[in-house]
Amino acid sequence: MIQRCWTHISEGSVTMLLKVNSLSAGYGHTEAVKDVTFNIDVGHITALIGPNGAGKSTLLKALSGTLESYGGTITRGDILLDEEPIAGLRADQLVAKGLTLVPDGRRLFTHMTVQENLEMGGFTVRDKELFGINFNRVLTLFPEIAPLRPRKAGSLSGGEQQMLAIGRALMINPKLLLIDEPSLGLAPRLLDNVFEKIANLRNEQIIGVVVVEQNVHEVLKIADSVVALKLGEAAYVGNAADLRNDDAKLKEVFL
Amino acid sequence: MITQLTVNGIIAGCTYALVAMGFTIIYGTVRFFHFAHGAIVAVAAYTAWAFMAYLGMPFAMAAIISVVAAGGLGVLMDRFVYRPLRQRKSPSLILLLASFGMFLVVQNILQFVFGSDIKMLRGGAASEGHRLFGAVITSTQLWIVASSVILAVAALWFLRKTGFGKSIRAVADDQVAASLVGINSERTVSMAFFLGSALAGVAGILVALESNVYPAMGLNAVIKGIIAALIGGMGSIPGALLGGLLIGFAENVGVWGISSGWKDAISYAVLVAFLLFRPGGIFHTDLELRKV
Ligand SMILES: Nc1ncnc2c1ncn2[C@@H]1O[C@H](COP(=O)(O)OP(=O)(O)OP(=O)(O)O)[C@@H](O)[C@H]1O
Ligand SMILES: [Mg+2]
Repeated sequence: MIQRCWTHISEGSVTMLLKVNSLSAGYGHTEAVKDVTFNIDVGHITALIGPNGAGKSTLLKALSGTLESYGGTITRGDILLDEEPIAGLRADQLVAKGLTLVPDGRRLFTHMTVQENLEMGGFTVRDKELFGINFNRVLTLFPEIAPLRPRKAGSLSGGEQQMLAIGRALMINPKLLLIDEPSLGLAPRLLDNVFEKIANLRNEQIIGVVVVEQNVHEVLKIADSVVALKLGEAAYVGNAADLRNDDAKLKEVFL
Repeated sequence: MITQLTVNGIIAGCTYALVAMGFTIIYGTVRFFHFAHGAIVAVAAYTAWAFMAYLGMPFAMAAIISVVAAGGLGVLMDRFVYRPLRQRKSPSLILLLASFGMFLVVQNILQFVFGSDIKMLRGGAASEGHRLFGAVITSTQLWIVASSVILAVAALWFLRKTGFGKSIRAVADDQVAASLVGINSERTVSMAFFLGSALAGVAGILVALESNVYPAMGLNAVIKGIIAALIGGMGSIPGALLGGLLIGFAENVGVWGISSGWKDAISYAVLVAFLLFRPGGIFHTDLELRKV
């Protein structure tokens, strides 16, 4: 049932960033993610797709060390980041290793200004010069944010908040960025915009990105690989191109 | 007479302000009413008294040890009572009840160990007072005012300018978001408890210098501290300072010509007036009561 995509690894040109091995996670007696296995390569965008309640957010929470804050736990399996086991580490420990999440609901510091949100994003970046480089890179990627800097984050529009949330996460210069539903509440035009930024991000910096997305056709335009979940299980793990051109298969994994 | 009452009000207000600052720092971070904060006020006073009475330690040394002990006690309360409850996702009402329980336990332990009689931190006659606009103010009282103001400024600087202060603000705003930018939220909470409880410890020693040491002394301190924090705007350090001074002033000047038994009633009246007409407090923080 699980189709693996080994092409990139066999090519030998791409290195593996994250390895998820038979991962199960859930909340109390509900198992929301069941025995999921996949890999993420450096410089790839992975689309994590599946219907509502499939376990996409739960998987990202498990990968980012925030699942416990939501009352959940990893029940089985391993997660390796650069071959180092990370399952069970707290989110702040994972940030130090270069992994962070843009969570669903964005979770900005709403009482702080946009500027302060970006500064908090770089909280762990002690080197002033590096901080400045990261800060400028975020503002170059999201020029829309620059004029908003004195405003309270809570007062921004949905699209602006989404950009700020991604910008804040980029302040640590992550090697793996997880983004949960960037399109939520966005107009289609803004959605294209945010996806374009994510694609730029991957092109300019060689980082891994995992995007959870309901707009499958949109996300397939920028994705390199796909993990599709269905009732917590991996229904498809493989190449995005294969799925992009195969509507019948797409229907099969998504319905 | 009125100047003397004002001076008395400022002195009392300073101790309320210190308790309120500690309370507000802790509340701002964990968002529940840490009532046992009052017990820490009393523990610090007793610790200082015990070190001086039993070991003959000089005041300054006893005071420093007591303040550190107060901070440590706050951290222990968090670590062994609040943190397990937080991890079990207990509602803040449960945390409040646990806090009441700890307050009573500590108060009873103090009573059991030291007895319920009144102790004095400073033996001997009251020191000579200085004259100030017709009022008398003692050197001890000047110390109380000076240390309160210095500590308020220091705490404010600490919270506004240091990384630790920023992490407290971040955890207060959104704990998950704070962890996703790399902040260890449990450690931040521990530090907030240490800082807040040390401030309560200073207040306990100042109260002890000015009046007496007795097991229930923490009750008045924490109630006035909470009122001051609410009036100032919960979560605001300048608010806690102003709120404390306002309450101290109101209850001392307010009893001019009537029995001093009305002090508490006046404090509550001021609180009610604020809750009705300016529920966010002087500094109108958005950490309103509904978020308790
Ligand atoms: N905090 C929680 N406590 C208990 N159960 C939860 C919790 N969060 C999610 N679940 C359950 O876990 C399952 C997977 O939820 P999850 O949020 O991971 O799905 P999702 O794929 O992200 O869905 P959506 O597309 O709607 O965001 C669902 O059955 C959901 O009800
Ligand atoms: Mg989701």
